[in-house]
Amino acid sequence: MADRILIASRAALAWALLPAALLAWSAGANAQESTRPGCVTRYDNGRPVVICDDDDEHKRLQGRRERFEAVVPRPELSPPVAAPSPAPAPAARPRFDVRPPPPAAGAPAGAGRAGGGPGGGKATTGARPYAAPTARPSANGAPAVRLQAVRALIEPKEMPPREVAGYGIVAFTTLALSHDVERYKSVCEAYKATLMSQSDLPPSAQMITYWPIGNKNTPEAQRADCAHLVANYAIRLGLEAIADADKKKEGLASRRGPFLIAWAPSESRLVPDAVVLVMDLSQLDTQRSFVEVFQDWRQHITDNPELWQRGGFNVEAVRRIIRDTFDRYGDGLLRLITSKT
Amino acid sequence: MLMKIGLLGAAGLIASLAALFWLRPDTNGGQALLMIVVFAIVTGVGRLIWPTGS
Repeated sequence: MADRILIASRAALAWALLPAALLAWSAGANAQESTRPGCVTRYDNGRPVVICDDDDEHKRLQGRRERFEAVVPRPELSPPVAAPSPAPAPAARPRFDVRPPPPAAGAPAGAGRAGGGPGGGKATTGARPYAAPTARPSANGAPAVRLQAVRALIEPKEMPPREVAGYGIVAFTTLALSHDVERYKSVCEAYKATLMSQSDLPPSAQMITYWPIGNKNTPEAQRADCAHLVANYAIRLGLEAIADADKKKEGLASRRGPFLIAWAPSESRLVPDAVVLVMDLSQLDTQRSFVEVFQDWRQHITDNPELWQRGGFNVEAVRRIIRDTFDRYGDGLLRLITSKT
Repeated sequence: MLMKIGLLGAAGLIASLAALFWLRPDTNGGQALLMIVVFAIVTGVGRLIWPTGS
C-alpha cells in the first residue's frame, strides 16, 4: 500500500516538475520576446499597450508622439538615393547623399519620421544631416532609410549622444568582478566581432551601439582592448540606461545582465511611450551565445525601429538559455567527476 | 515488456540526439548532461503513460 502511494506521488511530482522546469527556463527569455506580426508594444506611462494596425489606442499614442515632436526637434534623414534627384550625383561616393533635404512646404512637424519615408524633412539647427546609404521599400510601399549598425565608445559627459539616428547601449548592472571578468570580456569580444567601428564608415544613417567608458581617448580604448574596456566601464551610464528602459518596473537592474538597450530616434529615450528594444543576456555565458545575440541585435536595430517588438515568445532565446544552462552545469559536473577520480 | 522497454529506450535516444542537434552545447559536460536529462525525461514520461510493469 505504502509502495503504491509512493509511486503515485512520484508520478504526480514528475508531472508537476516538468512543466515548472520548462516554464522557469523560458521565463528568462522574457525580454527577447516578440508579438504577433503587424503589432508593436508601446508604453503609455509605463503601461504596455499592444498596438495593431487599426487600433484606436495607436491613433491616440500617435497624436501624443506628434505633439511631442512639435516641441522637441529632431535631426532628419535626407531623402534616400532611390528618389529622383534634380542635380547630378558627384563622382565620388555616389551612393551617399549628404545634402540637407529640401524643406517640405506645409508639412506638419514630425511628419517625416525615420523609417517613414521622405516628405517630412525639416532642417534642424546645428544638426548634421544624415545620408541614406541604401533604400528599400517599407511595408506601405514608401522607400525607407536603411540604418547601419555600428559601435563606438561614449563617455558620461557625451550623454545623450547627438546627431545619430538612434543609439543603443551595452548596459551592465555591475562592474566586472574577478569571477565575472572573462564573461564580460566575452561580451566585449562579441560586441567587437559583430559590429563595425563607427570610424570605419563614412557619415550615414547610423544606429550606434555604445560601450560606456570613463575615458575613450587612451591608446587602449582607441584600439578597443577588451581588458581595458571592461576594467574602465562607466557603470553610471549603464545603470541609467537600464532604469530608463525599465518601463514596466520589472527590476531589470537587479538581474545579472548585461542588457542591450536601444532607442530610436535618439531623443526618444525620455518619452514615456517611446519604443525601446531590450535584450537581456543574463542567462547567457558562452561566447557563441553572445555572438548570436549581437547578430540578432544588429538585425533588429537595422530593421525599421517602428517595428521593434517586445513581448511574446522567442524560440531562439529559449534555445540559447537552455544550451548555456546545460553547458554551465554539465561542465561543472564533469570537472567535479574528473577531479574526484 | 522487453519490446516496450526497447521502444522507450529508442524514443529516449532519438529525443536525446534531437535535443543535442537542436541545442548544440559547446562543452562535453553540457552534451552529456543534456543527453542524460532528455533520455531520463522521455523514458520516465513514457513509462508513466505506457507502464511496462514491474
